[in-house]
Amino acid sequence: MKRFILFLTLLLTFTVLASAQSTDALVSKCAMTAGPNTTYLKDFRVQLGPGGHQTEFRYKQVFPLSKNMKYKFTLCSADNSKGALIMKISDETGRQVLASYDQKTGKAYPSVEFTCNKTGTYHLYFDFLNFSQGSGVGVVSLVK
Amino acid sequence: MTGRYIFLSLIISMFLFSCRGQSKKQGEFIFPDADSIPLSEAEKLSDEALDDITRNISSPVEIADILHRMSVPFSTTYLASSIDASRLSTSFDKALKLGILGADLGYLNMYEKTGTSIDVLTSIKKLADGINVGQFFDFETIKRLSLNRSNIDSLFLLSNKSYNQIDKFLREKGRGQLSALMLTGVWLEGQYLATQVVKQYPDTLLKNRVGEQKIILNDLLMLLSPYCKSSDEYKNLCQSMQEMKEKYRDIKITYTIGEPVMKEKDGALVVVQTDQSKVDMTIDQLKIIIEASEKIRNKLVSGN
Repeated sequence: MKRFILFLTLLLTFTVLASAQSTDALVSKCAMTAGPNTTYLKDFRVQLGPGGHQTEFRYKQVFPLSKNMKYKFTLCSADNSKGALIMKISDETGRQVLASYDQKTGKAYPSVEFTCNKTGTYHLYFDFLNFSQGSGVGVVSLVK
Repeated sequence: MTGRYIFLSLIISMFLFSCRGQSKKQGEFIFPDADSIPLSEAEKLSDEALDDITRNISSPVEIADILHRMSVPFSTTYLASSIDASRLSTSFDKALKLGILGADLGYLNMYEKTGTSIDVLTSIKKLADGINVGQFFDFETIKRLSLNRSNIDSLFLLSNKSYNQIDKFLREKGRGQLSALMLTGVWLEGQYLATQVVKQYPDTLLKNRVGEQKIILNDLLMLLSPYCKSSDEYKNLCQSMQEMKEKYRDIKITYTIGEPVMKEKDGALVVVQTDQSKVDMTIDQLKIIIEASEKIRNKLVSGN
């Protein structure tokens, strides 16, 4: 019994470590795809199950964006994701500022370059296309 | 009993979010009347509510980018060189100075002064180890990248990622007070850098950047507020930050609304925001903020 518990503990530890490392690798890969004229600022690691009849984006974070700065949001999904990582941004009043996908055509962009002209705290929402299951990272970079 | 907690959480959330949203809809950012949240309530803020407060580790990178764009020459006088990591004994000092040196590292990296950043890196490693978060700081790789100056992008990625991971780890492990201190250190040093430069180079972009810190300062105070009574060190820091907030009170930030302009370029979406924020700050107000920033930062760096 003790051996079984030890085995399970080791297996769980290995799984958690492997998952953390693969997410870390995805962050680095994603940050590098942002381009040579960018500086990494922050990453958001998103892991979501199937959304069912979901209508609202499930992963939400806040981030300050400053006037006269150009930001690039790069979206990367892990190979086993069922849909592409998508995002939208709203300002503090709830007005949508941008979305990385076109709701009419269903097209999802892998990156969005955003010229900010209003300093403030913004809400960043992430999910996977069609609220599907997946894991991925959204990287915020500064465009030099 | 559970019902009481739920009710209390709801009241606190309503208070927090009503304060944060109210002023913005009127097209102007003003500090909430009640000075953020009463301390007794702030102490009970849920993790979820705290997660909704801006945490920007990388703000000094943005400031350094502005300085670079303005062609402001690099100067070591802006750095907190007097910090001696091996002489700091409390977690409070270590976390705060970890933030201050993180901002300095961003400044050094932006100017590609990577050779001279080794001393700063060594201190950062000591401080990170001192609060048991050294495992997130890949000192050897960062040092190697700094010494050969071959890949500044990777250097930024590793340095900024380390700080983001430390912040996340501290919060997840219930050590949010250290994370709040680190963020305060980052902000204060970034503020010091911007205000020292603006004295010599009164560029509008930089002046506005200093004025806009009113918004960030408000969030920072909310992060710190749950810990303000926990010791004399926190109490003094909170008091200093409150004083800074007072200096910002009459600076006006107004907003105008517009529709974003979108286009597709090389497969990527390009969005230009036409909303505008405007800072109204007099020269005297700026002077007062420069003085206050210098005083607080120097007091913390010297440890007096």
